Amino acid sequence: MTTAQVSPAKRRANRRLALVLFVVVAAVFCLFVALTLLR
Amino acid sequence: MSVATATHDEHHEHGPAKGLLRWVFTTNHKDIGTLYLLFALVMLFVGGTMALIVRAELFQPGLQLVDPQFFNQMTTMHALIMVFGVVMPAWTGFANWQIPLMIGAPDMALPRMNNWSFWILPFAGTMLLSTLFMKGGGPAAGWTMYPPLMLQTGNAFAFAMFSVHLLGLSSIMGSINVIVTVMNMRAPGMTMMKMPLFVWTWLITAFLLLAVMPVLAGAITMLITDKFFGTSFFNAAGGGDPVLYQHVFWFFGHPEVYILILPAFGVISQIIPTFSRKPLFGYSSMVYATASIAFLSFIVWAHHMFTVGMPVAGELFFMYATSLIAVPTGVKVFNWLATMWRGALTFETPMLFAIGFLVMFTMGGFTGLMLGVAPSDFQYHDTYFVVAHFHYVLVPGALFAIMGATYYWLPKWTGHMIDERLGKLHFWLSTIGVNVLFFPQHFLGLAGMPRRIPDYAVQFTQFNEISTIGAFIFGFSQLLFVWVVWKCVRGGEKATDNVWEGAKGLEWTLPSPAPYHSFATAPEVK
Repeated sequence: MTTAQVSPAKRRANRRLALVLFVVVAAVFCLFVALTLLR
Repeated sequence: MSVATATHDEHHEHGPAKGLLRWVFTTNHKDIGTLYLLFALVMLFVGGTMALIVRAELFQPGLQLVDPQFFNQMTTMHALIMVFGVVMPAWTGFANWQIPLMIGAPDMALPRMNNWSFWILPFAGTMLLSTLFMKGGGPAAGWTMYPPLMLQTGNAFAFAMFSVHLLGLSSIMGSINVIVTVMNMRAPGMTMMKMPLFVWTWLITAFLLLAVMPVLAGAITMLITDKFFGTSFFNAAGGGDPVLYQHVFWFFGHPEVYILILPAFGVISQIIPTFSRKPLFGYSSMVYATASIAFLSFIVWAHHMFTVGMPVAGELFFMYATSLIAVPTGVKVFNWLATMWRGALTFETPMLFAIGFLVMFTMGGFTGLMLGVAPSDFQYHDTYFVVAHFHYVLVPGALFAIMGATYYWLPKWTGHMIDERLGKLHFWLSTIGVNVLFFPQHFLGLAGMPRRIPDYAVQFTQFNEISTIGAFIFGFSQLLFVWVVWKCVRGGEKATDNVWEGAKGLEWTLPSPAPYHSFATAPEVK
């Protein structure tokens, strides 16, 4: 079995969770630069 | 629709592509795991060579082999390579190989991103190494890259910063893949509290990575703007504060050391039950201890900077918070010992590395406690005692766990047993070498020898000579590791599916070697 055979719904869920995590990463980056600026 | 699907599915039931392009375009978790591990192995020898240059220079007082600027470049690059180029990629390699096998998933959740996160690494690594050939040489301010010293780097500065950004990006993508795989791709019945400890520790590590890699990215981005765009984040003359960089860096840096060691805890929690022929003692307490260590790692960062002049209340807070980490770590060590207690123990090579880890990592942990006590840290700060401490945690700690894990899972990957005689020889040579190398450094530090210097007072000569001899024993012993791995890949006694008598878990239900596509149907976990 390969990931290509994983159901489309599951693959969409995977992509959605990955996107959320990327947004979290970007938010943490911005937060720390902002905190340093506002020190 | 069903016919089309069937044809489509059949199309994907094939083995690996042929030739070099297989490795360039692969989206298979086993191929990518292998690539990560090979990259880590190559970088281990690159970073190791730099360490040997450092130790060769320190064999005698005075300047023998290299000039001080190059010496500083070697210490800096050694650390950057070992952290970002060896230990982190090696763990991601194991995650790629093992997590899908251990949770019954067909592959990682995001296979194309997986390919990309690996292939960033060789470019980032090459760019970092290329700085050594630039005008002014490579970065020489230590892996912590403190300003203002780091801002004095020559042409290499921008390249070094960009390569650290890339290495961080690769880690972030790898972590996202691990989190999505573990959360969404587990086999039916594989609840969170049934997951193998290696999967748990990696999941927690991945969250740590997501939380702190952007902080490092922020810190070095601000360094870049200070250097090139006239900002003064860390420049006192412009109203900034260099100590602020240290706070931001260590907010990343302390969780980073747990990123390097938590997967090692996971591996040891797999190996010890196998060779004790008993289930892991205190599974749920292991999970909670790992999570506690991860949480505490965010509130202890300033113990790296006790000497910068903090308010006493701050020193006390960070001292007590640091001491608290000993509690969940103690739970782990207790559980490993309790697993071995009255077990039917055998001492195959992976078990030897696990026991070596247990003893020597704990020694590194104890010296960590000594350093975490603020008043005594004033004595040890920036001495060789610190070097001895973190090398005990990272070499017989993380690196021994990596080697133990390689010996443990290699028969499953290759279908051949390892050469036990040579594996054991490798363990004993490494153990002797690593202790001859790092144990005398405790004494050097307590006697006052500062770290990151190419020359030293003559009273430190003998311990430095012993340490250098140990370094060469340890370094050259690793050629034996490569030989054992190579021999196992090429052939040897056929491995059974279960490989080790006491091994439990989904990965051992697959044939050895594990097929290119793991689970044709998702396994049911009872």
